[in-house]
Amino acid sequence: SQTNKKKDRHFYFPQIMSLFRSDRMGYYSIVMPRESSWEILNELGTLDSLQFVDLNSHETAFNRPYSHYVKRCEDMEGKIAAVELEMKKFNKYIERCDDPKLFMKNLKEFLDTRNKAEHTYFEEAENDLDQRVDALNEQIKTYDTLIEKYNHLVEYKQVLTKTRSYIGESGFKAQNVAEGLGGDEAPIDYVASKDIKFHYLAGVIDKAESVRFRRILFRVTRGMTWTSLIDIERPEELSDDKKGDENTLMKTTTEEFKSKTVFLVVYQGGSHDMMKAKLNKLCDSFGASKYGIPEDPVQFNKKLSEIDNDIRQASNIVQVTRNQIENILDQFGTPRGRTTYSYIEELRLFTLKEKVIYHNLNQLKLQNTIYHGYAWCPAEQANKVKDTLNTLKQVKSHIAGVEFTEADYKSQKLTPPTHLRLNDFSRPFQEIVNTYGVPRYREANPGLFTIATFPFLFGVMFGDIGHGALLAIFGAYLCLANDSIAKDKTSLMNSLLPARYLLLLQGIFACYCGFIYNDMSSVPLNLFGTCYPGKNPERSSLDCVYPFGVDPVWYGMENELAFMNSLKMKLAIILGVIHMTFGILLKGVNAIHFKSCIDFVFEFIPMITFMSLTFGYMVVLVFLKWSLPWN
Amino acid sequence: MEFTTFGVDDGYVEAMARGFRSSFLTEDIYTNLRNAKDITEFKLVLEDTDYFPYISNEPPNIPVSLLRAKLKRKLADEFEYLQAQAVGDLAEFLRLVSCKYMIDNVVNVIEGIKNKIEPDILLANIDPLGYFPEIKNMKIVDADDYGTLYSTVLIDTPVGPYFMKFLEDVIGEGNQNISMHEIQALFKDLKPETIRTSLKKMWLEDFFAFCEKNLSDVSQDFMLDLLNFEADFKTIQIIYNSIGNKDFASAANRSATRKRLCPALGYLYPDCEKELNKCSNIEELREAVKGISNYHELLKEAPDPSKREEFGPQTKSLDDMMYEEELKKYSLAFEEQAQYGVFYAYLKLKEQEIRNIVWLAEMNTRKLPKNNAGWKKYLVPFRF
Repeated sequence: SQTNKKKDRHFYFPQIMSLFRSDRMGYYSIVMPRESSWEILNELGTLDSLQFVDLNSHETAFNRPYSHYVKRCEDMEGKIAAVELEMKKFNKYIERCDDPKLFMKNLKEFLDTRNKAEHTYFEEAENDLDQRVDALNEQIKTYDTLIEKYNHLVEYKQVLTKTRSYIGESGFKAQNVAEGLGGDEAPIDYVASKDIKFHYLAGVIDKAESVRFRRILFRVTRGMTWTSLIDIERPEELSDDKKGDENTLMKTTTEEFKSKTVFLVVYQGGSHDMMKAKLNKLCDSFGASKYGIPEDPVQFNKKLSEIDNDIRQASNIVQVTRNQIENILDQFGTPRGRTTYSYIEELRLFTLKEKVIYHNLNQLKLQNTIYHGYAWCPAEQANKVKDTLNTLKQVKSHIAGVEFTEADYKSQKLTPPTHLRLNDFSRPFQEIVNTYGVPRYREANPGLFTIATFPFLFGVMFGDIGHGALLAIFGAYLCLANDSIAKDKTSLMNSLLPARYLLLLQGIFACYCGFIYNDMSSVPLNLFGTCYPGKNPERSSLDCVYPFGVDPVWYGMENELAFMNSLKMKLAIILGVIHMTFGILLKGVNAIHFKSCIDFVFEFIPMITFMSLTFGYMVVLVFLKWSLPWN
Repeated sequence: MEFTTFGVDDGYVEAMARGFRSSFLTEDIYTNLRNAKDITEFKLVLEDTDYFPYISNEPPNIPVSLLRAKLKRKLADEFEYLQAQAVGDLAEFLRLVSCKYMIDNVVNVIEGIKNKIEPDILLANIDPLGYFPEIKNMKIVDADDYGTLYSTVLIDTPVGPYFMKFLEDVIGEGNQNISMHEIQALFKDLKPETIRTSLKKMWLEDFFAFCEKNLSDVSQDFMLDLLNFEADFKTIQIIYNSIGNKDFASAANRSATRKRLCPALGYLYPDCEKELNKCSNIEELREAVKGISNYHELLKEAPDPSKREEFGPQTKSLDDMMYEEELKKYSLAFEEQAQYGVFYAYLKLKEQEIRNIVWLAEMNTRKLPKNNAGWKKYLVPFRF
């Protein structure tokens, strides 16, 4: 029991000084049978205590045992991302899950009701997702085809209505065309002869291509045609009174909306076969669709009403298909059972979890039917891991033969990873320190001291009561309203939330230093009665000293800058030298902790000597100079 | 001096080009590609590289033609981005570079229409680097009617001026008053290859003139050297192809064709022109190019064109030699800063990489044994 006591004391100190030094890590070897490996890793994953060492790092990604599982997970993730994209297109809301522990709890409850081995749920989920995604894709394909058909009909109607003005109410006859062309638009000298027959070609082309179309048409036909291009308005361009009756082109799910133009080409008869063939070829090469216009006015109106009917039918079918798609997407959007987040979110988190499990399984070494692995674990949590494994063995009796024993890492010359337990307050400061370099294992962690020194140095540089107070108020607002801001996903403050304590401390220190510099938005405050009152400042009494901060009389004086600059520079130097000396002292503490005599004698002692004999001496001189009277 | 002002207009584009450099495949990846067991694993190795977004959506057993199309699409997208960001001289430079690919596309389409290939297949096989909207409309004209083709479709395109000059050359070669029929006959005889060589020659001369006039000294150093080298090799190629070619049995015919097709620039021009024109076999060719740098050593390895039937997949053709020589020059382009050569070099090196990948994919699908010499037949950029 004597040795036990010593061991307990060993583990007692790290818990108190947890941010000063990284946690003590243990190196453990895990041995487990192959069949239960998934279950065991599933349990261990919830503890958040282990980091496996990659024993298969020499293998390529394809040769690892579970690589095709990982690929399947990635495929699922791809499909889930595609579904989320479609949901966004159709404006379906996805409820996200912020708490992983809640997710794991709900998942466990659900899997318990299944009465089957837990790791088989992966296949079930995969198949279910595949089925739904296939159905969704089919529906979307049909939807797109239907929209194309609908657009076709709408274009036809547009062609008919827009060319009507050129055709005239009494039909498409050569005479009328010529008369319609009359006036300043007459491109040809029309000879009223009944032998000349006009032919036409009408259709729809992309607006972007219409200019080129006209040009190439002119060249191919040597100018023997007359073209008219009329734009089809986009839905937003329609004037309000027309919005109800005009049918507009719909957008498919895949393509961008392209503006279209109606074209009408009129050419003379005679060698019309060749001309027609040429024009047809040209339209094909541009991807323009052609539509026939009935010549007879009665036929024309009949066609128009036919198309109206067709449009109505088509739009109904389109709506029906759209409803079906929305149904499928709704199924993805609604939560399952008693969970509060969408099914698709659950699938996403589940896939992520599976991927992590298989990724870790890939790092173990297989010998016959036994998996062998090494893991790092913080020493305090080792018992927790052992207990979890024991309870797992009791609850699920088919899992046998799991061993979790301590191994020796010093002989293999491995360095343990640095594990620091951080919370929302200490995390931003540790992040700042980490950008300079992550502390070594069990080294003194500057992050602890940064909590105070970083905002303080910021305050020294900022030094303004007014703006410092504003910053402090803003920081306080972020801290107090943290929950409500986090809930609102679209808020702009979301990105500032992790740094809220940092901002608050910076604001407080800035305000404090503002009082010391006596600078409120560059104007001093006279809080305690200045020692040099009156227009021609005379010292009120011989031993009057402004109690806190710089005397407000300095403001506006001739030698204000000379004094203030000198003061602030010297303050900065003093603070800096103290800070740097403290750093060197930490180095000495490290040398003592790691019991490195060389580091202590040959690094720490010389550093502290040089520092104090040069900069330390300078600081002493500064204080001396300040304290001695000048006259 | 260049360093101080280059960044004003062209700094961003150059930075992008240098960024693209890091996406080149390294020797390790080529080794992995060689060792892939089948096309699925080949694709998986490629997915690890920068090509991932372009091929990830394709089925695992991707056909090589589709792979090639996707790789070219990526290069075209990157080049389009550079073109969009360029201004002034650089924009003109990049436009001229893309003209070359347009010429290739035009000739391919002409050839395809002549051979009655489906227009959809034709359009799918055009090089995306040289895409211009009018290319879709080329099929409306009959294959041999180059005059109409020019006056209706090509006249607005960047290829237009070159085509016009080409037509003038072809028609103006005979007497002044030749009839329409004779013009048609002339066109019928024209092989697409001849059109391609002539158009490329004109493009090269045009590009050279632009580089000489508008580029800075630093850029000119690199670009002119490169263009001269390219012109030289075109000349050598033309002479080489005409040796032992039964179409050019008579010496007079040979020298006339050569004179017409060889570009009027390069280190070999104009000094070696006479000797080159007189060459009738490979030895004379080697002698003729002796004066210029290391052309003699290069041609020493070249197989004898009169023994063309003995060529196999492992013989190093003249093309391969040219690629290798050029590769060294292009790789060096990235060492120099503030010059336009990086863009040209980037394009060419990326094309070489695509050629490598497609070659290895072909070797993979044909399941040739690993000791076949063809497996080593790829050139890795930046190895020098």
